[in-house]
Amino acid sequence: MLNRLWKDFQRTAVGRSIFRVGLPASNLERAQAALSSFFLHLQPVKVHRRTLQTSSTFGLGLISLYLFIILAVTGVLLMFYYVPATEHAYNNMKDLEFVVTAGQVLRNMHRWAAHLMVIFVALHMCRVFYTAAYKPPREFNWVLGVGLFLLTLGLSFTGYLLPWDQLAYWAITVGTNIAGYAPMVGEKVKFVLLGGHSVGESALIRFYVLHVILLPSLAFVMIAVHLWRVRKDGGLARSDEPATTEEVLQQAELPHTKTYGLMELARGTTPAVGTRPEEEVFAWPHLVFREMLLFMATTALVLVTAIFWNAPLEELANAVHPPNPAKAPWYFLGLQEMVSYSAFWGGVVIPALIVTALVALPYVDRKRRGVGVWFSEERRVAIAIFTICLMAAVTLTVIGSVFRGPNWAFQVPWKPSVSVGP
Amino acid sequence: VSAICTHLGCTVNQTDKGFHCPCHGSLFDPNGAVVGGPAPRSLAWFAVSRSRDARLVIDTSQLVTSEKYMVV
Repeated sequence: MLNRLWKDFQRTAVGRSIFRVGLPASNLERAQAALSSFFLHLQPVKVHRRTLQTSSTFGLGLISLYLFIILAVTGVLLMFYYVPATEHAYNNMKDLEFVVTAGQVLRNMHRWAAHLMVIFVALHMCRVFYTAAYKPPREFNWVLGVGLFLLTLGLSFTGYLLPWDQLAYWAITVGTNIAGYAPMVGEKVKFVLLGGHSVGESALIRFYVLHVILLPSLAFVMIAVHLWRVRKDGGLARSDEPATTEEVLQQAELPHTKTYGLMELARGTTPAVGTRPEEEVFAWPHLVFREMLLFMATTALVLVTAIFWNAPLEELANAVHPPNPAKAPWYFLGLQEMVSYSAFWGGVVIPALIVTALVALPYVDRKRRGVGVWFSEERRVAIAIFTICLMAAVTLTVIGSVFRGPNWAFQVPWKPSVSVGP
Repeated sequence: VSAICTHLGCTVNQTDKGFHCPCHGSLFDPNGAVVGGPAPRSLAWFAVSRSRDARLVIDTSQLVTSEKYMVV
């Protein structure tokens, strides 16, 4: 019945003005559908079979994107209840918990999706590294990815400041003081972030604006360019893909034994020109169906987590006493561990070096070896260096998470030291 | 003596041995001098004076050394 109504609607003048092509039945219509729909045109018309294999990407980038969408939707809903004022913010959290219908689940979804996004963006980055998908012609997209990783952390940081609990207050204090250690501009940056010299109302409103408008808009644009570049750079990295324009032209000389029909006129040469048509399948339905399934699975994961576990909320911000130990969320504990040795080296120099190294990576490691292959034997050195750095980051995070007790003293997790009074 | 840690601005806790920071583990002696941890400087000492209406005034813009005492 609904199906009939839908089909009748599509045949009307209005329906046809919206959907140029109905549900595609033939290959021609599948191609037309992908080209004529705004949402489908984000997909290629056809994708390589290998792109659809789970082991190629594990869908990590897509999951990150879906988490961003979930965060945007739950974030807008949270904005209906949240007031960025020091005397209201914490009470708003309590209202979400006790007054607003499903308010706690809403906040939980937002918080857990944020945590998951940090995990999945990091995993996505590891996948791209271990399959050498950052090599030419994809160097710039890797740089965009590094930017998006930093934006994810920035959005997380500005986000957990907003409830104005103890975590928020002391994270702003420590975070802006780390910024103060930066050479030359440090004190100025700190002043701009805080909107003054002390942590208070002006700091909260600044981090709120960063969190709900500035950083998300920036992330939205960068995600759009990131996805667009994936296609423009020739889709998913494959071992048999042509590397340079010259190779593209060579490969473009297709076998003469086949007949080809003109599908579309495209300007310029893209690496897609050389791909063998028989290894490609139509994005509709093969790719679109998998994407929808993954989106539903991601949403389900966030929803189930949000129903069973509550997002952390510490006590109301107290400018006199930080909690003991005062710990950041887990993803910043590696940084906190480094900062506990030296604020300048651990908080400014090492992070700056890491970002510089990540941005420089595709321009230094340019040889097209092992592209599209997991843990290629030919890239032993690069893989070893990256893995050591990754292990170091994980180790520091684990030490900061479980091996640090009150007064940031070393402790073993199975024998926690007795809490010291304030 | 100021309770704001010179490392990254957390409030230090008073212990038997002096002051201990709960954020990154800096340790100060009872006079505020750095004993351990990442803190780059001793805790600040502020000038204390008595105002005309007999109230204690702490001037946070005026740093003094730990040897200086207010004469009452």
